[in-house]
Amino acid sequence: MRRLLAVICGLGVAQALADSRTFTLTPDFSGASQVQLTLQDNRWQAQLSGGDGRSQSLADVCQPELGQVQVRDVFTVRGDKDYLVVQCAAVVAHPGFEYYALNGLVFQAGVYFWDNGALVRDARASLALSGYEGNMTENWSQHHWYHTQPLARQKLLEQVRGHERDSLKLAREIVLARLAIEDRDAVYIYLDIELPRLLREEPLNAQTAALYNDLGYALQQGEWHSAAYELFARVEGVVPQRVVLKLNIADSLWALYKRKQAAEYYRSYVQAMNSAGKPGIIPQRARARSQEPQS
Amino acid sequence: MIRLLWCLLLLSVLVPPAMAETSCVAEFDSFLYEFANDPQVQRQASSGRVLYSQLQGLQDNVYPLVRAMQGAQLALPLIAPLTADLKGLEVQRLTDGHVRVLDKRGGLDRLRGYQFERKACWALVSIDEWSVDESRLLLTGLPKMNPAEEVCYRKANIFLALGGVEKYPPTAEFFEVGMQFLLCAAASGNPDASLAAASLGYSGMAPALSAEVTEKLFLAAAQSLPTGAAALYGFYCSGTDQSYDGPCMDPERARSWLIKSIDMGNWESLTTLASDWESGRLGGAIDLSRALACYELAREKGVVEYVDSVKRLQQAGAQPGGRCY
Repeated sequence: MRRLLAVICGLGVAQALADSRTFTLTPDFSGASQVQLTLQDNRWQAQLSGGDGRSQSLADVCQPELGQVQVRDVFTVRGDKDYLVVQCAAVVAHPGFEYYALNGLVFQAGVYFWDNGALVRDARASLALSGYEGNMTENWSQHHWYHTQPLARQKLLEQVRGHERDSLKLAREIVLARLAIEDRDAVYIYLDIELPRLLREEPLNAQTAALYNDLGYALQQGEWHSAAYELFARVEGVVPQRVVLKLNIADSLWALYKRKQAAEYYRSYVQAMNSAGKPGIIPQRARARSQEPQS
Repeated sequence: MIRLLWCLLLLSVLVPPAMAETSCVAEFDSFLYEFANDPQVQRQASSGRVLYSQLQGLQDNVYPLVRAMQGAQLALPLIAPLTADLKGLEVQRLTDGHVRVLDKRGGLDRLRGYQFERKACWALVSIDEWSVDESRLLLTGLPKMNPAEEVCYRKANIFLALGGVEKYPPTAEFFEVGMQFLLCAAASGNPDASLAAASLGYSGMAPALSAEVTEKLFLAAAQSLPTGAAALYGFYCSGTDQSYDGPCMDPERARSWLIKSIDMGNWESLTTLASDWESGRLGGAIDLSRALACYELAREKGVVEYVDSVKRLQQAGAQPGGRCY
């Protein structure tokens, strides 16, 4: 009786929950140009197909979850070999914990490659691209930094080259991506953790100065002026003549209410821009603030 | 849709929920006892998704990283077996169906937090692991500190940093264990560890230290650290009670350490000494001219100018050109 009910109702449930999504793979995944994902009983199955009519199925590309798991993206990455990446997400909601409210999103990634004619899941790379973003308590929030396709793509490429930790270049992409969605806290949290390590592993020099300047810019735009100024000052020690840096330093000092010091940097910036024949692109604030009394 | 609802209703009547086949203890303490002592119950209670946090990173940037795990991915046992009582466990009932457990039985440097939610049965929602082992430490060798003390010092700094941000649940425990490790690091008299431990005792974040221990730590710090000597002045004047506002308890010793801190280059102490000459707090006569001399000397040494104090002293008749001490 129970089995019969399960068959009858199982069909109904499956039909009711059935969902399907199709992604075009560019570049193709070792010949497969399309992947169709179908949700049945809260499990996503993938069907890869190519122009030659061949197809390959892939079971359970997203781990079943308590809530319904959604496929966010499927794409290919060309590294030492071709990789297929499936990005999924599921909602986490335990509001009953109040202060310890656990609310957020679980990001699951599946990274696959062909090995001797079989599709293999790369457990290490899958773990690296998976994570949780949300609250653990009222004040303790956790971020998953590789939630978009470009970030996941670059993280995977670094991962398969043996780099466990984010490169300076990836760090720059991460903070700029957060800045783009006005997630200012995330910019600070990421750099608070990663900046000391980055400075150790990829020291500040003429080659890396522009990237560190951009990290400082992200902090500044996130209104973390003190941290931004600290970083800009270090960059200045390496490339003191960098013109855009003068403006950045001036803006940070201005925001920190160090107006006289800021004015000196604004004047230096305006002078450098005039000398370079680019007076037309000097921001109005730089001109106005450079007039601040000198003493 | 109606067909689906009917089927779900029929299933709920005729098919018992999977969890119902297992023992599904409603009372939390009983459940916790079963959970801690039976790996099978651990596996059942963690059959869904569990958020698992663990410390990552090195020394100055150790932070918790949260991962979403399927229960089967978690190695058993999830918790140490429990004896009859809940000694060493802090059980916080947030609601009827939400409980947080902090397990201190492994020591404050091996804390584990668990959160349970009750729906049909109690289920494990998250585990926070706050263990700091030596793989997280950057050991470089520190002067006046043996290797074991350096391990303590580095661990202290990690726990105090975790506590300092005041966003993780066991903040009080982090300060407490930070203090324990600082005291361990200061055992053979390292001045930095000694000063840090004694100062932390005043913070109100960690348990207060006795006057005897505080004096011993400040004395160790004051031998080579100007700020240590200045701190010892504060101790001899006010003891360990931060709110103390009476006359200086031991003015002679206090003054000698304050002057020592100045001689060691702590110019900020000049303004303290000036203030004490002006108020007579260190005993003996009030000496406005000495107070003025201290402010003048502080200005010469680049300490921020105390223009108002100088004016006040001059108006009160202080004579310039005197000696500060």
